[in-house]
Amino acid sequence: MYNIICIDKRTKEWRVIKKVRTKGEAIEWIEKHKHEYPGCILNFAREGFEPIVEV
Amino acid sequence: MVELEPWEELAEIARKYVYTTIVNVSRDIVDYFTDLAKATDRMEMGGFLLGKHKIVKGILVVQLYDYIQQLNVSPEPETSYQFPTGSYSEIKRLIKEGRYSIATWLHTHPDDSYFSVADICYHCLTFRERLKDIFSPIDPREIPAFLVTGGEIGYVMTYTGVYSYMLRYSSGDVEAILVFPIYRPKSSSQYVINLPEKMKERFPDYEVCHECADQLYYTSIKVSRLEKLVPSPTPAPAPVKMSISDLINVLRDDLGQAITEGKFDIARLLDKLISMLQRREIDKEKIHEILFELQGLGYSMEKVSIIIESLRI
Repeated sequence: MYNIICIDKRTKEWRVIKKVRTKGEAIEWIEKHKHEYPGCILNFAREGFEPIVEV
Repeated sequence: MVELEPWEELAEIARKYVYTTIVNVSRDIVDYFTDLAKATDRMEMGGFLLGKHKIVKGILVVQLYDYIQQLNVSPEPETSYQFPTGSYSEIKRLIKEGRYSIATWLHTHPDDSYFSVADICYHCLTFRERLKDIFSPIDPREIPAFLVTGGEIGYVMTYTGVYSYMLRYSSGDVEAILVFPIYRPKSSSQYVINLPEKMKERFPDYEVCHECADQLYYTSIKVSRLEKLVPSPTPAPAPVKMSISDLINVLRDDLGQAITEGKFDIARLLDKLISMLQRREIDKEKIHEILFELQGLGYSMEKVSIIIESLRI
């Protein structure tokens, strides 16, 4: 499982906004929905792994 | 023969930034990292980075310039990487033969996730144990491990414990060299701050791993930034914009009125189209249009299909 995450552009805190089964689905979902999250950097990470939050 | 960068110059860079170790990554490897980030799909991948080292006036200078891919034999390759049996023997053999003097390991993550506590512990315990004899007196932990991530952004990270180091990604072009003085303060990531605690929970008996998590050094650079270090090939000229009728006229002129006179020569037409394609004077869509236009000149659909197939377009 992959977590799609929103990294807050200002605070750099992150939260899970969607769960999908594959990397391909994650890429597709982000492409379709990124305009809905203007305050976020959207990315994905496998469940149990820590997303990279580097500036 | 690989051309190494001047050892003294690298040592001087390290001295300037007050580091006692500098790890220089060659342009070829930088290029490879950018490809690898894109290629990592579902499984983790891995291998060894190899190079040479010298001690120059007390500075450990490492130049990494080769990579040997290894299979992932982990029973769960989607979430972990494991070297096949015998892969360390191969690296030792290459070092004993004098082809290289130093090595480190690399693995990929299909997403943009940090190195795990298991990754750190592997580097500080297993990797160190396997190569400490051959590297002696250098502690293998002095050379950081590499992680290439394949998420939306893509990063190349390096990490080790106890030993600080300076990492330098080289483009091979003096103008484009990026000196990346890398030590990131631990405060840059909450995850890194919490690593010692996580390490003790996961590996309570491995003190060497606790030590590495307590004194972790790491670097992080976006793949997009690395891509700027590797100049792309000279861009091809922009396609010339021509109408279909203009193109037909060009073809007609070039073929010496062969089309209109009914002396149509497929081979010559194909040569012409291919050379135009190579010069980017036309694109594949245009060729399709041209070929269908030829029907108007009495060329049968069947023959047009044969041409299309011949061109593999």
